[in-house]
Amino acid sequence: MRVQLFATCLGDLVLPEAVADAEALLRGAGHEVVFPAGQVCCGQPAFNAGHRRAAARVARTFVRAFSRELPVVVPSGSCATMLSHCLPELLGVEPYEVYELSAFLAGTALPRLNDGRTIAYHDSCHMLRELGISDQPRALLEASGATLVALRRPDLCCGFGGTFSVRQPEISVAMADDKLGDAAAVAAEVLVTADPGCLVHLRARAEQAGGPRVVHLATALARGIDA
Amino acid sequence: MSALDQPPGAFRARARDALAAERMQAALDSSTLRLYDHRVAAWDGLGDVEALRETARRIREGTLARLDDHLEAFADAVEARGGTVFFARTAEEARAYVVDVCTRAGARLAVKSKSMLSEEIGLNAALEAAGVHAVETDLGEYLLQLAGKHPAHIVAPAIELTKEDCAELLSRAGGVSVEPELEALTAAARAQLREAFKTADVGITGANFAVAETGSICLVTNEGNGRLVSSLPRVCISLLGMERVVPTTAELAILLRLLARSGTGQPLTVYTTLLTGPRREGEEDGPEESHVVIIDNGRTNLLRGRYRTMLSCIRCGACLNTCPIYRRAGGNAYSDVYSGPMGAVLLPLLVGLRQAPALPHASSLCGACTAACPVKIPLHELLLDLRRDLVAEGVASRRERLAFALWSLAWSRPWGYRLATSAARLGQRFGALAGPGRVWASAGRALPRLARRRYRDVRR
Amino acid sequence: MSTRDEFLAPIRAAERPEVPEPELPPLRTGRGAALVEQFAAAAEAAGAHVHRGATPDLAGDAGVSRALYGLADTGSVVLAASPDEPRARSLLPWTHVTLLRVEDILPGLAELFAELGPELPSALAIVTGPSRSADIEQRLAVGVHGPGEVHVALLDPVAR
Repeated sequence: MRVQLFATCLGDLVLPEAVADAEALLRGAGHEVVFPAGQVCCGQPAFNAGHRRAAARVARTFVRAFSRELPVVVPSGSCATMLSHCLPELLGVEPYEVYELSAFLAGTALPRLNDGRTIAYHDSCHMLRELGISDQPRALLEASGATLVALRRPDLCCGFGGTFSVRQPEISVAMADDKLGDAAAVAAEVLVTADPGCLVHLRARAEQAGGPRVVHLATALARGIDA
Repeated sequence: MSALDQPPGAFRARARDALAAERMQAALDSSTLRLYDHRVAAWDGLGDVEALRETARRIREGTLARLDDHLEAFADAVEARGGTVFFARTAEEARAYVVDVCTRAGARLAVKSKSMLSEEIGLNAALEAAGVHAVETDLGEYLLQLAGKHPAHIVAPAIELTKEDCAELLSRAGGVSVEPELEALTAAARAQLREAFKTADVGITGANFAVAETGSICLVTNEGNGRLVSSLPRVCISLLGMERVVPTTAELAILLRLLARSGTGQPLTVYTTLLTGPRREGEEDGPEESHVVIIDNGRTNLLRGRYRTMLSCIRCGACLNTCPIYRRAGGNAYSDVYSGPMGAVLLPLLVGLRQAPALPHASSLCGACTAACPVKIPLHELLLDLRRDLVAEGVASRRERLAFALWSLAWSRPWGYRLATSAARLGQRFGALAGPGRVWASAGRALPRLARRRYRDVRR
Repeated sequence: MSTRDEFLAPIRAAERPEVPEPELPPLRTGRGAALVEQFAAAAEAAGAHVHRGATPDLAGDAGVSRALYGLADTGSVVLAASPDEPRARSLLPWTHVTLLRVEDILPGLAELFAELGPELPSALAIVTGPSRSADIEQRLAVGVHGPGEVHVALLDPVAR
């Protein structure tokens, strides 16, 4: 079918290769992908910080750019939550048909790029608790041939939390250390996440302090965990 | 200005101290994990726990919707059974009443069983000033009192004291050396506090719940100190937060089914006690005078809009045990009384946002607390509401509001977004020098690099 | 205005949202002998020593109380203060024995409260196992401050 792809601001600016991977997966599954040029950001950074007016201003770019005729696919659990749960109330608009990437791709046949590899998957909080999506990304990773090892504390947040990461930086980093340490302790080769926010934060800490590589779900599935 | 006020930088500074304290970190990790695992197992054993939570939610919210009626019924029932009720709107009124009762009773020594409310109103200091020595009898609280510290968890107060700490405290208090072994420590505490129980003039308890139908105070403990405090001294005073009333024992049974399971994983704590008035004719022990002090202290502030549901809280501690921030920052980062998610919501509402502006942001909004709450308080949603209020009421700094306004104006159009992000990419090597970039990097993270080309441009 | 009225005024003025009625589960009808095994298992799991038919042979200074009821769900005994049952008896001694008639075993708290009605004794203690605390390094210690050793002697109707 035809779908609209929402890159998210972090995807567009920091993780363009992961967005490209997401698009490749959608095409590979037989979908036609439309990329509305006027997209910017869902407004979540301001929304979660309590700045509703600022969030609404930015969120309106979504309404101007995206059509209601086609489903929207997002390679981010937190942005998908923002669009589906918060946008309608924030802007007084009807809800869009929004899918987080792994939920949309559920059941898709995938090349076994990760055969014999050991992966730990990090459930980002929005995806887990607001969208209830935890099986689909794991199923897809297993379909790609990977062996999944469970984190010891899969329930714990990675510590990003948007502005929290700079309001309480020490706690935020301690939480990242717990997550990275957990992945290392269960001998995962990489830590995979479906959320750009979690990814950027964990990767930034791992770069500085050491730790497993952090890979976006789309990349793990489209090009393999070594990409 | 209240003792509960949390100045802006306090949370972060105290959290930093907690992060540096290895023993505290280990204690926080193991205790919260243990209590979390116990709760999960206990909830699994409940069958349809979602139905039970929903029933509990309706019981609490239904009570709050008619709180005045239930408080009246409760007060009438207490008085009909020989108890005395005092309605205290402020902490000051509550303290004054308790001091007055103690003074009229000629009391020199009071024994207290666990009451977060008594900490909230600053009772112990007022009693000491009036010449009444108040001894905490909950083991953890006793040890903290000896150490001159405040509880760090609403259910497991002495979470960061070691055996060695306890041995030192008990040895000094008893004048006899105590071995840092569990049996010796508990024997020493038992002996020291027994003296206090037997000689105290007044017993002061909190109240987990109050039952309107029967005029009873419900105490939930594992140690039995609540029973001792309300059985041996001549006078018993119970402090009741006005929101803790329950209409009938039938509804109390539902809440008790969830309370211990959610807090410690036990089906019931060792002692679930219902106290109804002073001793009856012919009874050998029990208080001759029984007082209930019903306290507001800012709770009426919560009776508006969404915040009302925060009054449903039954102080089980489940949210603390599941919170990834509490687990690292420790209880004292939040305040000397309430901590974790429930503290982060309750305190700004009790004392005002201006007095505790950092607490709503002492959270990553992960939502684990909401999932753990037995009475379904949407804690993380209330934290977001508080953040909105911080902005709407002008408490959030002008700098912050300006930063978001400028950001949103730039990003409200694709061309503004392009311009702003191109500029950011040009300047990104300086990103760690100032502002959020500096805060990000100084905590030990690499600054995320903006890609050479945005996805939208790569795609073309 | 009385202090009561002053106190209640802002509560009376607050909004009263509609809240759906809670659905309380129906009371269970089991009682007595049918619940003995469940009671005994729960009581032992909570750390009590359970004896069938006879009172245990114990040191002289143990406190011995008669229970009003037992609760099968949790293995709890229900003690009521009265002229015959001082509170201290089940609090001060290290060892405590509760005599519980099998026919007085109820399913749980809801059934207990339904049985008791709105007039409660001055002190009603629902006791589940020995006194305990985990306040020192989260390790379990018994006997602070209530009894550290508790026994329940189940009395069958015939044995009496």
